[in-house]
Amino acid sequence: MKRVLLTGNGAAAWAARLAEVDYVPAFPITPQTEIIETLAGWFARGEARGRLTTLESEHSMVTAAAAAAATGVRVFTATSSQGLLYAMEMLFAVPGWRAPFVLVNVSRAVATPITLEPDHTDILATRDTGFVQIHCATCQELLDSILIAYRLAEDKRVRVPVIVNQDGFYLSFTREPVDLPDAEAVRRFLPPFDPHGTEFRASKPISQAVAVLGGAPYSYFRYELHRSVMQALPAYEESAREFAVLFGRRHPAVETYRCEDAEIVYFMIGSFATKAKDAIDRQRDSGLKVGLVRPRLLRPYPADALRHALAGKRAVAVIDQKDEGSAFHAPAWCRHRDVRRLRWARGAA
Amino acid sequence: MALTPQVLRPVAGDGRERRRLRRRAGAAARLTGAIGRTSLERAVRAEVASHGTGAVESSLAEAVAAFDAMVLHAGAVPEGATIGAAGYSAPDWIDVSADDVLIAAPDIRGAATSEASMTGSWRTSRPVIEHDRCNRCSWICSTLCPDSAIGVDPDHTPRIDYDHCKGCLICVADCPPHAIRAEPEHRASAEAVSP
Repeated sequence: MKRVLLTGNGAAAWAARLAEVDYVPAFPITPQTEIIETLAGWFARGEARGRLTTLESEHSMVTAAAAAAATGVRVFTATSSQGLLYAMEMLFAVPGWRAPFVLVNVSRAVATPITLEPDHTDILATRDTGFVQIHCATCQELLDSILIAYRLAEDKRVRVPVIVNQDGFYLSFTREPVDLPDAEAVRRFLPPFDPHGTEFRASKPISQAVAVLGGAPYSYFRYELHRSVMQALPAYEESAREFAVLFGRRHPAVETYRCEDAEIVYFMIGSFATKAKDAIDRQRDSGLKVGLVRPRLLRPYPADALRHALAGKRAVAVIDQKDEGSAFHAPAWCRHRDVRRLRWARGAA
Repeated sequence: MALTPQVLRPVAGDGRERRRLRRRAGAAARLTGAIGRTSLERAVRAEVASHGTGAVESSLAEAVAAFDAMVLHAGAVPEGATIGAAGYSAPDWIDVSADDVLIAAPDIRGAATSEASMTGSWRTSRPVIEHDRCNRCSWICSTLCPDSAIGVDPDHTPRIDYDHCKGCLICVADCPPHAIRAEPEHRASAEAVSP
């Protein structure tokens, strides 16, 4: 293990290198580009083994990622903002293929007006695609989460792709101290992808992701996808626990900060939530009992852990980085659909 | 009470199934007691018109014969009373197991299964080869066909497999001596529609 100063993009590229990915379909977009450039350099100089292909769009890039994963190889890709939205059709389509890979999204706000700076409008638009979704607050967490994401995606019970989100600029271009794990230790945590005989081979033709008609078959396949995504909850906890044993860093599905005796809690995701920790420390000094609840896993939604964390609190302040258009004038707590769902679920129970 | 349009629409499948559906439409119309002969005929014409006069005539004959045959049962299925939610009890919840990916992914594991799917029925335009203008190049149309629906005989004569040609007309655009023409499908297939 060695400690280095890495940007979020550097940490993402290192995670892909340590995961020994076989294939990287790519299309450049700011602020993601550095991830792809770094991997391309390593592959070209023979410092890492893998193949990188540039596609003509993110739509094709995500299609290529899932198609390659269906052959049983380990696939990594990354995008941002408009690129993620351009791939939207395939983001909904490929989880049903049950071909696992990892996509890093470097969050950036969407047009109009065009900007390069971050908010979460891009990533939250993909919340219900069937991808598992992990939100990171630091460069270290990003590297670790990508390794955990491969374990999760390739788990026999889960077998769906995972999006790991980092915030543009705040993480993508900011250097932080990052522990680079040894390649041998990563191999112990993350053995080669075993597709358990489901992989496509030219000698065993498969018509993949075929059309079904008549209602019930469609419901069956969608329900199976739902079940597999829900299996990611226990699978995540197991992987994160094993990761903590091997590497000494804990990444629970829901992070809480000074929450136990808090009366009011901030509810935030991503790097933005690290600002809340500083604010909480200062507000605590002035006598306010405040804390932070930060879901790292947003899909599947860790509802039980969140209910537990929010139980008995006087108020929850949801600070969202997503523009909800016409819902803008609604109070913040009811703008965040997931928290709203949580309240409803508790009321109905 | 409206007659469900799907009942009248010609569907993919063999001629026997299509005939069964037309008869079912006529019989259902009579059972409601609310649909007259003229309305039935008008609906059948509107649904089947694009498939040519042959298809309209045969569909009408089937539907009307069934309508007439059910005369003793006219109005046997009246409009129901308003149904309220009160007294409704939820059915028993049956959960589906989380199946292995080999089952739970919508894949067909087998070779050449697309041959069984008659995608030629999607065609709205039909390519027709004029063999006297064909150079017998033996490869251009057959190679460029995205559905592999053009085969070449040993004497270099191309043949179109209309069961699988979707009518994209790439062959029409690419044939150097313009030996393939496009015809509207409804005209080309009018005589081919089975009664």
